Amino acid sequence: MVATLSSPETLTAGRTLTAEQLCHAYAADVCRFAALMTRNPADAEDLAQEALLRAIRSLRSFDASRGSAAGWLWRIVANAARDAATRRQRLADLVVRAALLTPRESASVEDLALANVGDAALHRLLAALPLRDRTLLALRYGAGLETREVGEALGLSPDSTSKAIRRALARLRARLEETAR
Amino acid sequence: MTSELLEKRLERLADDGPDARRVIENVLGRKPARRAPAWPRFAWSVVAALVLVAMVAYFVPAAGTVVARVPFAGDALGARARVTVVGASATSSGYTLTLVAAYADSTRTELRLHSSPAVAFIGLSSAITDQFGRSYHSVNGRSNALTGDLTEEFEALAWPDANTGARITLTVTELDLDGHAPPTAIHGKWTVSAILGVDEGVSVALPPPGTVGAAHFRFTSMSYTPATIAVDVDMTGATSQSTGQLYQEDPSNPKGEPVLGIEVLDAFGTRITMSIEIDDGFFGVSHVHVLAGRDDTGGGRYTIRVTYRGQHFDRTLVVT
Repeated sequence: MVATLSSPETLTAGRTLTAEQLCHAYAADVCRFAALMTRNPADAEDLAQEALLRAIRSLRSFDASRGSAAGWLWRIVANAARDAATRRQRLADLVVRAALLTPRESASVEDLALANVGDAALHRLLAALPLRDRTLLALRYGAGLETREVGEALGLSPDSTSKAIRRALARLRARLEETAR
Repeated sequence: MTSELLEKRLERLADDGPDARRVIENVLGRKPARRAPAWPRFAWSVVAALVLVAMVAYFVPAAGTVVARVPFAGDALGARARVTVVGASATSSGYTLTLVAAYADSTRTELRLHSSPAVAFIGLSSAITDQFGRSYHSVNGRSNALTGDLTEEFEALAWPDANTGARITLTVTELDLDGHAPPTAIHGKWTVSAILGVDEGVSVALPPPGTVGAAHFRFTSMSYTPATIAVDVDMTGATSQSTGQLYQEDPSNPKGEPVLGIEVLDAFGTRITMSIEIDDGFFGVSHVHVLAGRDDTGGGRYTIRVTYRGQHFDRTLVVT
């Protein structure tokens, strides 16, 4: 199978949506979203696939008369990300508990400072943000959605969405500066 | 670090995301996982419900009658067969013991049995167990050695059998052929089961005490069930030793009469007393337990007649 990508705009006019259309129109943005939501490429790929599969399974529930395909899709993707984060957090809790039982070989805080806000450090700080902040930033800067579209996906008003994104950015910046010191 | 710089960093970071074409191929190459069909869950639910009903039916036999009326469930659990409490039989050593009827209330458990060929008694080691594994021993028995009809009385079933009903199993390991000493015994194993409802006793207000001659009688408990009237009396001025003797009041009756008689008479004056037990207690007080059978024909007026050395007094028991 040869995959091709198309523009999301082509979907807004139609009243029905196929799995192929969905994937070709949104896979790239979903992948960028997933990149900001997760800490490593493997998790990002898993999340992107899971989100798209979930959307494909829910295709029957899509009703173009009730809203755009994008709004419908990003709600599904955001929920998939939330569920994946919950699963990862459970796993992380187990890892932390295991780590508490064994001597630590290096201090992650020092590693972060040495990395001097490299991509890995930025990923780590993103992952440490609250899920809501991370989702906002991933939709806005990863998937490239407009503020209004982010709000539509998360059930927020445009004004609230704008403020929430600014606050999420401020929190990330504060952590970056703290790490760089 | 300014917001613009940070925003651009985030956008660049997203560029390193997974390869969209590979993701598409993976997603479209996989058939969407079908939602698990609901029927296995439904089947498990049905199985769990049946197990629950079976457990309830076993430990709460009274529920079995309800279950038996439920289409399918009653058949599936065999409840209809289990609620058949009359007619269970067992054969061993050439003797067949049939449980003809059974009754239990708060004072006793009574089994009507029939043996073929006829025997005089079932062994003293006979016992019944309920669904909780508790044993109840024989306390009394009557029989007709000619016909093989036996009535065996056991201790009253304990709580919560009165609420749940009882699933009883009678185990007999010995039959007494003639009732002589030493007995002519037939050894074997006869096991019959039944499901019983247990009638709870209704306590009634105690009548005033009475005195006859030197004996004083104080009623301590009086209750009835659809099949039984139970009366407990504390007796002073007489003991089981003295009351166990015969009193010869009427010269025309050379055999004499019992010194003590506590009778229960129905509305027609018919004596329905089944048994009297006397235990001598401390400080000269003897406890008398009287059990009388009654047909469940609704309410009625019964007379408790206490006779001592030819004199008596009556008390009335009203069953509503």
